[in-house]
Amino acid sequence: MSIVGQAISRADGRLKVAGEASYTADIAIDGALHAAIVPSVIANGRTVSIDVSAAEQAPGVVAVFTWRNMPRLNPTPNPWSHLHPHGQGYLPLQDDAIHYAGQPIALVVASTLAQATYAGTLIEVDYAERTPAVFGPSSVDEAFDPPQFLWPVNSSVGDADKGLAVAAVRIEQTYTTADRHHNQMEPHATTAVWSPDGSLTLYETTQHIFGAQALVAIVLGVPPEKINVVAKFVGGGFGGKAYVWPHTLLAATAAKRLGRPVRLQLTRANMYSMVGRQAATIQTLSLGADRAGRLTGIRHQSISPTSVYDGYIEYAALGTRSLWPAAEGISTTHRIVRVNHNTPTAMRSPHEALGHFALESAMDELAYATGVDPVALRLLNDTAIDPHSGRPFSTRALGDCLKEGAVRFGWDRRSPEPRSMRDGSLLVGQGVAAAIYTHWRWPSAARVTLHADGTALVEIGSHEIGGGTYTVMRQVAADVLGMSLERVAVVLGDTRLPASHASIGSATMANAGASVMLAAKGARDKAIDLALNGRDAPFAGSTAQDVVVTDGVLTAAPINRSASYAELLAANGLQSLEGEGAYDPVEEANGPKAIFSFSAVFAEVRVDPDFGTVRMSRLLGAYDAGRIINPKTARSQAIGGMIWGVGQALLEQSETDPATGRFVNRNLSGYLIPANADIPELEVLFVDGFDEEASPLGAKGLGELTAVSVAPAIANAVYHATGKRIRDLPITIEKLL
Amino acid sequence: MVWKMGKIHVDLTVNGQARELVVEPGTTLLEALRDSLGLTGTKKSCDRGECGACTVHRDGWRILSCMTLAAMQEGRRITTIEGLASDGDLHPLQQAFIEHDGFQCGFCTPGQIMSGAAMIEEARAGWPSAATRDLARPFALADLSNAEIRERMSGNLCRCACYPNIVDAVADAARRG
Repeated sequence: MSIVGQAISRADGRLKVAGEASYTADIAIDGALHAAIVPSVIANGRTVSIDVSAAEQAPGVVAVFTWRNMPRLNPTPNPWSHLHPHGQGYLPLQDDAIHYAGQPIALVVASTLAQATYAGTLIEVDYAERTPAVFGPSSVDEAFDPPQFLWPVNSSVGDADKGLAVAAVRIEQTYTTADRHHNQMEPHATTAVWSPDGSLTLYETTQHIFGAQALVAIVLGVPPEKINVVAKFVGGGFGGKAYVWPHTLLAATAAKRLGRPVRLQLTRANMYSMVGRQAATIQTLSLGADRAGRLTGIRHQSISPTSVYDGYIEYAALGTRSLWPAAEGISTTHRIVRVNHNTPTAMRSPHEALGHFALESAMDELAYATGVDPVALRLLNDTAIDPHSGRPFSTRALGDCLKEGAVRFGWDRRSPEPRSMRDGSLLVGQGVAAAIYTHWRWPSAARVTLHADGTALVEIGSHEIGGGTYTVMRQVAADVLGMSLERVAVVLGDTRLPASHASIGSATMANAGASVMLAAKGARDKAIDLALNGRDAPFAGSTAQDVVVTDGVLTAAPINRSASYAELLAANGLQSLEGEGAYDPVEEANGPKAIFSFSAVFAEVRVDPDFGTVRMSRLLGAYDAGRIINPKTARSQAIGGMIWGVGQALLEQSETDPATGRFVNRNLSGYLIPANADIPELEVLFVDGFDEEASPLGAKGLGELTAVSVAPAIANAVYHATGKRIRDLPITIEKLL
Repeated sequence: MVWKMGKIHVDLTVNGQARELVVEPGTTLLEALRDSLGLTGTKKSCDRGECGACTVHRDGWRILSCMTLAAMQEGRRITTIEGLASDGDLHPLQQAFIEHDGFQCGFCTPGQIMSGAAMIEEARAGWPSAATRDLARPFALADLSNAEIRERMSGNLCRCACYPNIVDAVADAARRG
């Protein structure tokens, strides 16, 4: 039985449960100084004067940096290139301008963190303040057309306006989502260690070691080959650690100037200002359909905030281009507006999880307007052809997700009328939503080495951010090599390893995994070649097709001969045998098929009509993510994504004070994320499938998919329970009273 | 407890060993464990008592090490995640976390496990929770339903959101006793 596809416990499990997994701030560095950031209290304006004299005299302080004495940094072209990802294009401590509250205005470096933090409080700052720009209803008038950075900004297939004009039934509504912050449990941290030869080792909380290497090289003017980035364990990413943020540049620059290692760990409050967040959106969604519910036209317009210096686009309408076809046409637009917050960034699940709230809420509204069951409406509008590109989908098991999910959920027992189901005094509601998710194809390299002792080593510059990379890469290599898991070790998270892509976009299994598979094949094939053609070749006269490997032993059945990897290496006087894997797929957009993952989410809520409280009672996700490599870790990703969606639906919002432009709830008692008691029993279904277009492993993206369409499923359930359609996330008590 | 040169000397037991901490008055137990003793399994995440990542045991009961000062631990018995296993054998709850995949990134995991291990002892000792239905009779370990575990584990946030698996792991370890 293949090791791939089995529910294997995590390879790094023992380290993690024993407290032995070392995250950035856990790594002891001799002689390291500690840095603390002094944040701006205003959101817009400039510093008039910064008096650092008292701070410089404080105990333990080694240096205080402001814009006046900070070494000059190099600007980056195109900040969002995946090759050198810069979260905030505006460089820190280079001038007196203030563009957001919490922006670093000084960096204090001291012997201990307590000393640096205390000295920071002694800095006296005079500001000249201007009224901050904030996101809100007036943003609709201020929004402008942005330059493209990922996908085309606007899209138009057919004639959406005509499709809406001819429709027998029309839904046109505005839906809004809130600013949200990643709130990874591990705060961003960085430790910069320069060597006398001018090389830099950066211990960094990052989902993209090679991107950090390239970006820091540009900004600091150091050749990339002199920078080594290390991230063995990352305490949650969710997109927020994919780009380089100001603290990394500050620590590396300060360490270089001072000639001492510098560690900088963000405080929880820092995590709400100088690193990214998910942008709020204001979306207008128009659906037209015939009386039977078949879509005739779709128009999706989204507006989101960016910073004053970058043009970040939240592509909320992206999924609408491809989820449902419309007979006459589909159009989507994105505009952005400048506000005094830092640049937004990708956050699970960027683009799709926002747009699907509008699209799949509107589909529920259409179901009620036409009298068609919400599951049946979606099955009616299912398609095998991508409406956007006209290409066939590589695989699309959305119909199976809807049908199997409905059976497991007991959808046929739902009474469709709002407020028609009760549990004692509580209103019960059930809702459904479907989802489509982008599949990324990126190049990745890996190396697999067979050793003379019969073990194997997998080396790949990928990351463990919680997805189980150590575990699944070991499975993939062991499977190809025909070797037990215990004999395979995996090394990740170091730019001296073969270069892989960022661990973002749910891309690691399909792409990094493919490179490990190819590298393992390379090593195995070299061993087979030794058996066929090497010294005292035991399989001489046989062919490679006849050779199978089990438990580290190669067997050529037709000639009844076998030899272990260890024996083959020994016979040929080799200490090791290396296989290189270079996976270099064509970009998804340039391939013959449209590749996406799909899901159907079913939610059940209980609403207290007197208090407006919403409690989840059931949540089921059915997923088409291609082949599932490890059902155990995949299920964990799925429940994590579903709960992430519960947060989006019911709890999470970073609230801006319009007078000061500050996020006011900069902690985990003000910014609510789901806790254990918020979450009921969850059910996860994987609709099996092997997608050969998506990856040689057959896998499609999973991690982000699972956080999509949870919010509309819950909003639709809330409507079913209460008769109230909430089009503004999160669904908090006051909106239901 | 002795003051010397503006620092406080604290004698305490950490993971079964007698230790002396030399700390400033404002040093938290969390900082002392991590920075003075190198016990980095205990994590700093919110640093203000909201997330549970820094949970350790003091005299057998769970506390938030970011919310208590090192100077207050004179004579106390502190156990961290590094001290939970005995002679290399994982605590049953550590093993259950592996089997039930009660974590993803692993950063909150030491706090979850320290919290869960103490929580089982609280239940065994008859402590009720906000989820306990019948307060008229003593709580028994057999009453430790999933709803009880969810309530009692809600002081430990997990952003990867492995909550259902954490509940399964705690329930399994409680059953195994």
